[in-house]
Amino acid sequence: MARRKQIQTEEQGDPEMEISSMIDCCFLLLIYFLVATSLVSEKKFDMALPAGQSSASASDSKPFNIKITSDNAIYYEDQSGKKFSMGPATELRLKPGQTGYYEERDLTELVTRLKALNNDPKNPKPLILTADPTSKHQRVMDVMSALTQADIKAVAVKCEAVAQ
Amino acid sequence: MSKKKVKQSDDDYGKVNLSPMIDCCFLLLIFFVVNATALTVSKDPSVTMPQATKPTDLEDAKGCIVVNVFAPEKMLELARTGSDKDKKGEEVRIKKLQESYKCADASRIHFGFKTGKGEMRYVTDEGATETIKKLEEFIKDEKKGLESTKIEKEKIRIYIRADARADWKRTFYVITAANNAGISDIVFGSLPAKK
Repeated sequence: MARRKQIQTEEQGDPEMEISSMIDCCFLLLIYFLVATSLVSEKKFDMALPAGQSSASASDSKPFNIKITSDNAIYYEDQSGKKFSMGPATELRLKPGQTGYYEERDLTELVTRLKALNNDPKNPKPLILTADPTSKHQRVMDVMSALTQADIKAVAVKCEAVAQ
Repeated sequence: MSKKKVKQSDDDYGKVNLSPMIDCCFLLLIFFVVNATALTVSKDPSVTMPQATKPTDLEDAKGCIVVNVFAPEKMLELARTGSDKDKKGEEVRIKKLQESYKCADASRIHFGFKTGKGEMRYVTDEGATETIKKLEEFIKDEKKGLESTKIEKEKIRIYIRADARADWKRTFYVITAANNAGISDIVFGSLPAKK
């Protein structure tokens, strides 16, 4: 009788792993990564620079020029030589309590003109973006954004007065 | 005898098999860990990212050589003249920038990158020729490092994380250096514009 009892108690005392704390930990990690991945997602623009290709033969058609001046104003000239400007040029300043800028980001007029230019995908028109060395990166990004909206993925970039 | 029966049913009651749930949980955990590391390619909090109206998602960060372009003069100016909130924010940014690049003078940090060996390096803007040369050296080294791994050559591109307030000439230096190093694919980092 005594023997039987002993065996029974041994069986009851089988080693069991306490996994609830591990599951807690695992859930915490899961929640952390869930939040961390969904919070900030940086976006991007892809641009292929013609300078990287072996010198392509110069096209006969007049290029579409976009110019950004030091005061961040945008000027552009279409193929007929007509000049346009995005104005008045506004200063780039931080809005208190915000990390962005209060300028108008959407260059609707430029997008419309660029879309009209890009009507023939087989024979894309040359496009040159010239920016002043002291113009702000944000302004160039605005123009790049307009190019992306017009489905233009290749552009020649120039920087005035920078020796190469 | 009847007592034993009751005891047995008591033991069985309320036992849940947790192993499939743990398996599932681990799988999810691994998925998010991998995702998080793949998309957070050396994000430097000292860069005020530019905004764009219709940017696309960065789906694959593999093969990206990240170059941070800073605007330290703007940060220092805002830390001196801005509103109280701006001042505090910029001071924290400057401190973080100096700590991560182990440089006591933030105004000297114009370009920053993390090498393949995990080393943080910075380049000071010392005129076009000199700066482009230094950036080119770094890009060439990184390109060589990436080429020795399994990454396809076409996937190697430059990811420019430039501060919205930085002068365009600095971004242009990076583009020229990339071009000299034989990379023509440029990716500009941005955040979606707030409406």
